[in-house]
Amino acid sequence: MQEPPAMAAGAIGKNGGIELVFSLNKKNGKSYLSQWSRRVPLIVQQELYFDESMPNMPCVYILSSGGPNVDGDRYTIDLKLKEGAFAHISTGAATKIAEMRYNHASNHQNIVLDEESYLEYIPLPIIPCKNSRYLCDTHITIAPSATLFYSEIFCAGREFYGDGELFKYDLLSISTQASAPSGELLFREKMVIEPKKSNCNTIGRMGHFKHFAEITILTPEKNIQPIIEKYSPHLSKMSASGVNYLSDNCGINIKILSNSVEELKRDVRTICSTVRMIVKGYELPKEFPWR
Amino acid sequence: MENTIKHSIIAAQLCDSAFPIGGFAFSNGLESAIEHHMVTNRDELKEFTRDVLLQSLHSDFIAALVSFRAANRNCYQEILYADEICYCSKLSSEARSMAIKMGRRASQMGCALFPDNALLKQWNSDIENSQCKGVHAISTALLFKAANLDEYSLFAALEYGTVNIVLNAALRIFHISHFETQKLLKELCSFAPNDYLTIKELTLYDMESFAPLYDINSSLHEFGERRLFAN
Repeated sequence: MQEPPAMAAGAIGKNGGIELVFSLNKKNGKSYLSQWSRRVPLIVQQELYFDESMPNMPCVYILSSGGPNVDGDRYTIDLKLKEGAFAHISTGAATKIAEMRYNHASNHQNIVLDEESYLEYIPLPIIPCKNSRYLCDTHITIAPSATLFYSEIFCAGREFYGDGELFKYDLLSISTQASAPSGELLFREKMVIEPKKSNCNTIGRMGHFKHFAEITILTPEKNIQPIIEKYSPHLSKMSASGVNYLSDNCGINIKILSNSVEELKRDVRTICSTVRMIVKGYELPKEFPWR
Repeated sequence: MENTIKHSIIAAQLCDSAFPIGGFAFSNGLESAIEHHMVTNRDELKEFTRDVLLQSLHSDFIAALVSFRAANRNCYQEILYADEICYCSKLSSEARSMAIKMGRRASQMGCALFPDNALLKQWNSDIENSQCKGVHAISTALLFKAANLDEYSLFAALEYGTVNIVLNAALRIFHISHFETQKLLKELCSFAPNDYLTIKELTLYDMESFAPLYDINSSLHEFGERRLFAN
């Protein structure tokens, strides 16, 4: 790996950061953004309360003024929900990983959920362009009574750009691990995808599918079975999905493969709605038509 | 010469599918893959088995090599850490169950075969007292250490064993002959030297697995009704 000649890796303007802390106002039951800091090119504005089924829930979109993630970008996202707080976080647009020649882009995420807190973290899809290299490390610390719904959608590339850029990227390294506040490891998943070194379309990997969604639901054990009952694993030519229980009944992991990103986005929201209904008693409202 | 022959015999014993640790009860979800037409012929069986192997290569095999080297240095804490990481990295509950059941049997067999080995004794005692999970990869590493075998033998046994489990299951649920499965076994194990070079310097941090369709297949198998084996 070399330093990008234009601006070194992690230089000012390439070391974006977000720190968001949500708290619960016990007097009015409203959750709010009690502390936030941001460093360009990542941006958040104040929380909005546009969720019609949970009007007390703060909704925040993480934006990037720099457009795509470029060679040498180093981002950090720290999210903390204090006891009883709840929030919905997404991104303003898909995360494009620009073509790279020298280095890589990375995103390190720390998510801390205190007792009884509830977080929906549903970023829009990640689209790795030709020759791009992207690392995303996510560390979750979650109290036993808290719930996290965290999804990621990974596209194979820019499907309709030129002749198509499916699986033309160099590297996607996605690592997610969760621990209890005591430090006990709950689960760990790491995927390293290098399509130029190893065929992604084999029977055990992507088969004939292009895109996949990964959903991590960490929730108290009592919620797991009701979620599973609303969900049926399947495998067809159009899509495939499966659910696995994580160790020590700390939650479940759902994987969905499809050739349609729109379908994946719909599936993620449907499952999120199920989780919200079971944990909070409300459905997820319809997605805005422009998203 | 005498030691070489002894080592070859004990390695053959530990690799034998008759070695009673329960491998015959698992298929890595092959019957679901067949039911859902992911595997319909010999070539697809080979590809499926190779994908199963690649998953293990970048996870269990790394943990086994790390533990084997830690055992050489008497670093027991590192072995326990590898066990925890290995267990928590398995997303499917049946995969965790398989790893633990085979690991415990391997540990018990190790104590029976090498009753004076202090490391195996401690490992088995920690498994029984729930101080560790006791996954198969680590138990196998400690068993090979107790038998004074080298890490190449350990790697070969892991590669052979992983392929053999799927192919043995295929014999019972797929239209394929013993001749073909033996040829497949030889073909798939011919990658072993390169596979070893791929992971020999990797650490626990590098353990990874990218096989979403395999994970989905595991889920279909776990929730499905047509099952002959565990995952």
